[in-house]
Amino acid sequence: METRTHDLIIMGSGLAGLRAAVEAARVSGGKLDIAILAKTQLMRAHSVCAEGGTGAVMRPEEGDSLELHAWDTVKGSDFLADQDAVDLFVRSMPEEILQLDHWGIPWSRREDGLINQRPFGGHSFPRAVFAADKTGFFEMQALYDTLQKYAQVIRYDEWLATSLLVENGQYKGFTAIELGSGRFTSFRSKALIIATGGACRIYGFTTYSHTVTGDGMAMAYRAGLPLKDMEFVQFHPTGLVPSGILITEAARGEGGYLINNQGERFMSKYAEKMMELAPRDIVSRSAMIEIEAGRGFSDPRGLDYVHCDLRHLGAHRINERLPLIREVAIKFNGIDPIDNPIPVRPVAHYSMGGIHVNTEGATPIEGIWVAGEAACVSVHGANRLGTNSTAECLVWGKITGAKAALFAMQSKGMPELPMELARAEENRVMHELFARSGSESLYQIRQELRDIMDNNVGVFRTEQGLQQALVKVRELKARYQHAGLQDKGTVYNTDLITALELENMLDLSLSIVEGALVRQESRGGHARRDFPNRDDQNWLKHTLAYYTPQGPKLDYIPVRITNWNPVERKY
Amino acid sequence: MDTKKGTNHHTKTITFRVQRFDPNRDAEPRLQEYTFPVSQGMTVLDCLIYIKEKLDGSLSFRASCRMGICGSCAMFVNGFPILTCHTQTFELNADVIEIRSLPNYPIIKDLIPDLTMLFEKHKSIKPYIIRTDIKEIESPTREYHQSPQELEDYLQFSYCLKCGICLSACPTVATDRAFIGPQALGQAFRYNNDTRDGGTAERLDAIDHPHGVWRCHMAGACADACPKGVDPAMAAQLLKRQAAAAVFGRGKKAKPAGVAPEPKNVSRRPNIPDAPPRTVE
Amino acid sequence: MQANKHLDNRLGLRGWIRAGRYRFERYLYILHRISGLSLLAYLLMHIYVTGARIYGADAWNTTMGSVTGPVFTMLEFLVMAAFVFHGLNGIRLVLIELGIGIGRPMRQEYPYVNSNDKQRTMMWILMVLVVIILVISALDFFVL
Ligand SMILES: Cc1cc2nc3c(=O)[nH]c(=O)nc-3n(C[C@H](O)[C@H](O)[C@H](O)COP(=O)(O)OP(=O)(O)OC[C@H]3O[C@@H](n4cnc5c(N)ncnc54)[C@H](O)[C@@H]3O)c2cc1C
Ligand code: SF4
Ligand code: FES
Repeated sequence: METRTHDLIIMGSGLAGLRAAVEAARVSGGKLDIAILAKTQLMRAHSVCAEGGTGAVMRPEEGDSLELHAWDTVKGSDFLADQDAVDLFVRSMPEEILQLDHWGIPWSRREDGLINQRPFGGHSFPRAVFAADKTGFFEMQALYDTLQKYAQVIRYDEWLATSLLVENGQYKGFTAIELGSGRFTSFRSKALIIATGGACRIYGFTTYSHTVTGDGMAMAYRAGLPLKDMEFVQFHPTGLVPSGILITEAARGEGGYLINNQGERFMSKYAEKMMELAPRDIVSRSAMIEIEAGRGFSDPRGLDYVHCDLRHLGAHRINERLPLIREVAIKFNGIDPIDNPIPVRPVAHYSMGGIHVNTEGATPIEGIWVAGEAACVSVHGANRLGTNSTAECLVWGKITGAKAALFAMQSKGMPELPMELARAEENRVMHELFARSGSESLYQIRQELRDIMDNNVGVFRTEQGLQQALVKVRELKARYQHAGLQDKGTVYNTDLITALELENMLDLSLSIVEGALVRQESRGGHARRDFPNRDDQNWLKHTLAYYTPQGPKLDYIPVRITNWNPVERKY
Repeated sequence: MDTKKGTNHHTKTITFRVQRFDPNRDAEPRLQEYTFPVSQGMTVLDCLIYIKEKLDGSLSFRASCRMGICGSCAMFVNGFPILTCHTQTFELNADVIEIRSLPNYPIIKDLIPDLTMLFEKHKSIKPYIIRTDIKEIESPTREYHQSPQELEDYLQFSYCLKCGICLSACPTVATDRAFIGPQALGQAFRYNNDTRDGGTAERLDAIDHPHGVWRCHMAGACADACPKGVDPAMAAQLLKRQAAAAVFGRGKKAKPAGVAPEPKNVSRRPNIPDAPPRTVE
Repeated sequence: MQANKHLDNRLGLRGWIRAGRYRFERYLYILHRISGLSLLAYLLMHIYVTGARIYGADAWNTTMGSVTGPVFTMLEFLVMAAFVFHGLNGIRLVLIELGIGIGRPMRQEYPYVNSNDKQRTMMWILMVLVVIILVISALDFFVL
């Protein structure tokens, strides 16, 4: 087995990973050997899909303030966010926006040449800085392009990490496969930043890219790091039917309506002040209630929907502000939003949970940092506000990039790799999986997992549904042991990738379902039919899930409340 | 009640002839056939996924976002390079659909091309903002001024996904591997035309060589094939103009835009609440 | 990285010839190349043939005699055609390379319009001109 050594390795090349790489390269000034590794080509990370905008306080003179951004975020989180982290977050954001401007991002502009902003759900000020409706794409491009300046950053495109090498609670390295050749390799480094993104492909109807399978979370989980708040999954109200492609919240931010089959703007019943721009958990539940009450439009596949109506915005505004949405609606549904409403329904959109880290993005294991969606700091608590996730990626990309670089510069020795661990992993991935035979199909199992998660662990949850899901996921985990690979080659074996991803998804689903089952309250993205109210007495706390072969072991830690005590949430 | 397109379930049997190639086993790529009923609304990528999940798990292809924004899924379909994820299968109007790996790039496996050459060429044109006010770049104080019109002067070129389709379409790349190619030219122009940038001279140096911008003879194929309206062909021509002007010492760009001045006479927007007072000390 | 190990898959000259489902301009790219090379070949031949003049009037007459006949008329017509096409298409290319007739950068609206579309009117006008000139010269060569 080949071994490669770098001072600092960044796993994942989304917004968080790229931001961390640029920052580490900057801070170290050429003194560190830095590598960035991703299972996709670097510029193809899922972050390119982010559409609507990135939140930051840019115009205090027009009435915005850091406190207001913090308050919106905390209230949006249903008071589960750690408020000291939120403070740090809102303070760091404005500079990130300017930094990207200086790195060449085409932010949409106002007539006076300043950066433009638009309204977004749950924000009391039009706070979303945007670049048309391809914000994430342009952010990725600015960061990727800027990274080309730093020759010392070595890139590993299309390397799939399979496990972390942690021995006696100490970080040593990790293992990965070079997809293009199928070579199994172990990496060692003084520091590691995990930025592998979320896990929403556990769901079938989701806005996420095919590659978002929670690998980093699962690897960390199995290596002994706790996952935090996994039961909180965000459902976005407007996923395009039937593909699940996101119709950005900016569509409503620009003035779009949600309409039921009676022709009503139904949000007036649920959030009379903010209407369509209430936070996502509220809008999603409202849309779901409408659909379940038969006030949606019926769909032969069972994906009943409501309408997102943009017609009154006019062609010019749609073309200027929402070009991607229009293109997507035309190409995928044959609908031009200038002339027709778009069919949408709530869709799995974001993992609020992630690897447990402190406000510096550091995990309990020295030498490992986590940034972006893979981490749970927690800024988003029980429900993330739109625009706060790309923002989080930038802020904690920068923080972890700098911290990890400094750590690597200060620490002297390079860890010795635990070769038995590495060889055991090689054996599992390169031999056991290939040797496995059986009648089960990976794809069938994956489909069944997604179906059960869609149906039973969705916008509304019940004890019975969650129990069923738990049984089902355990069954799928057992069946997974009997699913062989059809592709026996080594070069770019996507069958092997699917198998490894599926294992990760199965482990993570268990932590989601167990967490949801135990949390007997409704808070933010976690809505229990049998416990419809928030219960601050018993449940104002973060869930931690530790891996055991039998399933997650749950533990709880308090929420850090430094500014505002919980109050009722009204929009 | 509903009369939307895409919800009427019309199906059609289509034969896919898919290129297979495993460098460890095959000397030459071969075509393998799969025939199955395709329903309305399925994209070409959906069909490939169907094959992978239901018919043949050993088929390899790249895909990620499935919404035409990541650039993974470019393939050569019925003689034309496209993003398979945003192309409706029925739109191809064919009973037999041939899918191959993008031409002009080495094949890694099946439908997966090696795009390293594309990324290297892109890097060679210095695709980043070049300026001399290092201090402002390192710790920004305000945004650089840029009007909406100035933005639109380069915006379309920044739509580039780095999908590699244009290099597959380009007949010059087909015979001259070293040709810098439409993608890189498009990006060189994108940064040259950005009012915040001051690196035009360096970039013109990077494209003015025997395999540089002058190798473009305007076949227009890149512009036609580009899925995102980048129009690298236009960029290449305008670059030639910039390069020619530079030789005569003409057409020098004004200094890169400075930070925007503090806006004057602004008033608070109506209906913005204050954050509630802290309730924890 | 592994380019040499794996199949190259470069189109090479096939990439010129098989313009597939691309627009008309990609065929013009090929024609322009072919007509250019033919004109070059003709030029060399022309210099060689007219070089006979050095050896006196007799040599000249015999050489000229050997390049008459229907085949050579046809070839001469092709030279003429290559010349007309290459010249007029060349004007188009020069204009385009100076950035004329291809529009200017702008925010794109779906469905996208590109520089190739924008120069299309100019392209058709010039190609119709090529055809008209060729028809007239064909009459001159073969009929009159
Ligand atoms: C459609 C959509 C729209 C969105 N819009 C917005 C928005 O408008 N505003 C906003 O704030 N947020 C938005 N979000 C959320 C936001 O885009 C994501 O949370 C954010 O991009 C996550 O970035 P990341 O860097 O953490 O991870 P990702 O971008 O997901 O990157 C993960 C990286 O890790 C790599 N990786 C994964 N597994 C492995 C492995 N095993 N080995 C090696 N590498 C691996 C991947 O290749 C990739 O490079 C949106 C999300 C979606 C789905
Ligand atoms: S210019 Fe167009 S075709 Fe070429 S890489 Fe960019 S998006 Fe793809
Ligand atoms: S899968 Fe991302 S562009 Fe097609």
